Amino acid sequence: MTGQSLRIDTRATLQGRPGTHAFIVGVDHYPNLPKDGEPDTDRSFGLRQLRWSVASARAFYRWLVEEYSNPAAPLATCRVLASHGEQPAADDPFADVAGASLDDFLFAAHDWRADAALHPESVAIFYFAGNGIQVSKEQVVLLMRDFGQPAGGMLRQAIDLSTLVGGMAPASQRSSIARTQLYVLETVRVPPVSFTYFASTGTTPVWDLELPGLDDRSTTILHASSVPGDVNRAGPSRFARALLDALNGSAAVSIGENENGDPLWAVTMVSLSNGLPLLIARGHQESGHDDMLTLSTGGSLRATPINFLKHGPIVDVQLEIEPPTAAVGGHVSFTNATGQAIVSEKVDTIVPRTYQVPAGLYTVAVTIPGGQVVTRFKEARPPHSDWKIRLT
Amino acid sequence: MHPLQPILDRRGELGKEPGLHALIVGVSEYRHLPAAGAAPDEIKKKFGMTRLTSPALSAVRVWRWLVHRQDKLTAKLATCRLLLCPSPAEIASCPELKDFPSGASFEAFAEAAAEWRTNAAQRATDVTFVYFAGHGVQEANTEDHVVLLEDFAAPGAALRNGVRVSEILAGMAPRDEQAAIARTQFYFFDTCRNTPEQFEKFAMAQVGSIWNVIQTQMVDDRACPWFCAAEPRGMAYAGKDHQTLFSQALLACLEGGAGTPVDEGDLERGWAVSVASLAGGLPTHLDLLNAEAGANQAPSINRYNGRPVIHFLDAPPPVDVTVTVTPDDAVPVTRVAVFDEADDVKCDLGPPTDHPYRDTLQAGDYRVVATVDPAAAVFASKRTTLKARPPHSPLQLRIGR
Repeated sequence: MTGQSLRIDTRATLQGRPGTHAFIVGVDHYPNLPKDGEPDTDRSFGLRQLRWSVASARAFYRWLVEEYSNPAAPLATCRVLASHGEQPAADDPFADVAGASLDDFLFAAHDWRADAALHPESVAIFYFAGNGIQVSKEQVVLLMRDFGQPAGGMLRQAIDLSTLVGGMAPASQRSSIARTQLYVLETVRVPPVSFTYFASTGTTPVWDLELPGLDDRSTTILHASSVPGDVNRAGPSRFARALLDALNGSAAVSIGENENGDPLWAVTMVSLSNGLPLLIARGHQESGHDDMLTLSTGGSLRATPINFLKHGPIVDVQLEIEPPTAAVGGHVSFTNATGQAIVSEKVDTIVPRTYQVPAGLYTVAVTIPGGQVVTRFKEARPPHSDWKIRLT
Repeated sequence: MHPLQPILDRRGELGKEPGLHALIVGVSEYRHLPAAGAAPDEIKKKFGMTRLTSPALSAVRVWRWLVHRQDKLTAKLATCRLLLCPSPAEIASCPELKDFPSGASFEAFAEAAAEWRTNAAQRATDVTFVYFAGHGVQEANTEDHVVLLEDFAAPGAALRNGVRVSEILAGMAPRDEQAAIARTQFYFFDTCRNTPEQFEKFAMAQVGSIWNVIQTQMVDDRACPWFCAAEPRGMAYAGKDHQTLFSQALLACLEGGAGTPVDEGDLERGWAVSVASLAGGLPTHLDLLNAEAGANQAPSINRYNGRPVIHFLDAPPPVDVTVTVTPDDAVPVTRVAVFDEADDVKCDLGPPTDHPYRDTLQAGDYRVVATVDPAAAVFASKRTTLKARPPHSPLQLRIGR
């Protein structure tokens, strides 16, 4: 193994208190897979080198270091494995990390689990970007850097996600393991016809199978996958950008008030699961691409906050008035919960108008020419709200 | 009627309209298990399991709800198959049970599931709905959830009359032979998920199989959330009236306790119960039932996909609202008025009513005005908003000094 995987370590500061333990893997370079334009080998299945995995993993790492806010479980450790396609810049935070071989993965996973097992209120985060095989809706196989070696079992350098997640379940040896676990995977997927269900058992187990205890985790697994040959641009992927957008507030929900009565906003396990598909769908409309996103959760789904926002999110609101001509020449206002007018303007168009307003519930008043006022309550809710006011 | 025929079949009536195909199973009278009062040794030999007295009646209640709401489901109810194996206690409590076709053996389940799948494979816009109540276990080696049929624990391999949930779901995936299978599939498994001690010693579990799972290149683009009454290795319980806690919570949620706006930006589009709102509502309702029953059951949701609507409500559901005024010395001098969109006062709360204030509102958005008695100049009146959403909306009103 070359390089180190542990990039962030604040365990000494936390002194046994709950923390967030992250494990990030990005694999662009697969030495045993053909380059673009080269013919397939008998073990390449159409897969090629990637150009976005490490960039996506790096973007997620930077978000964790710079933006992640979870007072109940601050960032404690972050382990990183990266297989670079191009020589990393000297100031690249991933420049000298371990290279995402199977052995690198097994060692880092072992340490990650050991840290996550110290407190049930800790948070475990796993992020993988690279090639994969979706054997079935539930069975996803992640391919490590040294996948495709000509000798040995075809999937020896591959990890079955279910064994990774299963090994993170509470067990008698790890009764204090983190109960909040987030798994994010972005893979290029091999059509599963190449593999049978049973062939996939040739993957390398991440750890020995143990009899787990009551599985009371709140586990969310987000898996985005695209087909080989789809977009392979350098830089963070569309999915990674949507994910960070969601985590930065586009999937936020109100979680009450602080002691001063100011609203608190956070991205929770549930709101991320609800909000991310909306952002991806919006990305599809804009790009014309149609990546597949499979969301699944295990254990109890709880609205556990995973990222607290410093400020309430700003929401794009589209206001449509029906019938469209009825309010032209009239007036519209949005008044927030405390009675402050956030928008107050003349209606001079029949097309829907878009506004950017702080998230929250508003009283929307439309005054039509002649003086009649129609009032509706409308919520500006991340990432985007369509408000329709019917004047009939 | 042959027990495997649909108990309800409206396919002719619905024509080309999308339909919902339901498969409801309730197994109480496990013929190879001892009664609840049997000797402990006898029960232990049978994996710690006994005959039950609530799954069949719970299944009938779910079936009745489906029939009652048959035109308000996300797709109208087209077919419904009902496999029941009621206990004498359930029949005594609900003599109507005798009128239903009886039998929920492995063979019956396999045949009913095959016919149900055939019905569901005609149109991708169709919907399926499975509710299974009875015994269930979690396999030790594969972590699969196995539901157990009426003839479980017959001579032979212990689990041969059980079916893996993963196999049910995999067999319902789109593939070339069933390319048009319903893409929206709801599953509810109301069983325990513990692993009996004996199962931990099995080198290989011989679980029954109801169909071949065939390889395909088709993308599995189903929305198929899978709700379980218990967490892996957790237990499920029954309450009063021969009804499982999970089915009580599920029906309470479906009847409005997990209501949500069809469109949060346009409440005039009505209210529904969606996968997301059910995922949020089930634990809350189950917690209330747990407290009454002294149980600790926690539901789990797999393959969560928040989008699909399960059922449209006739009207905004009722919501219990609790308004708490803080600090304590502001309570005697503060009145709280809740206004609707038309600026009508929906509730007026304040002394001498007991604090915190409780009321029931129709689900919706409201404007709240907390007015402080002018004589109490140390406090300032406050305006805020209230999103009343089922089952309960608390509002904390912090009155500034």
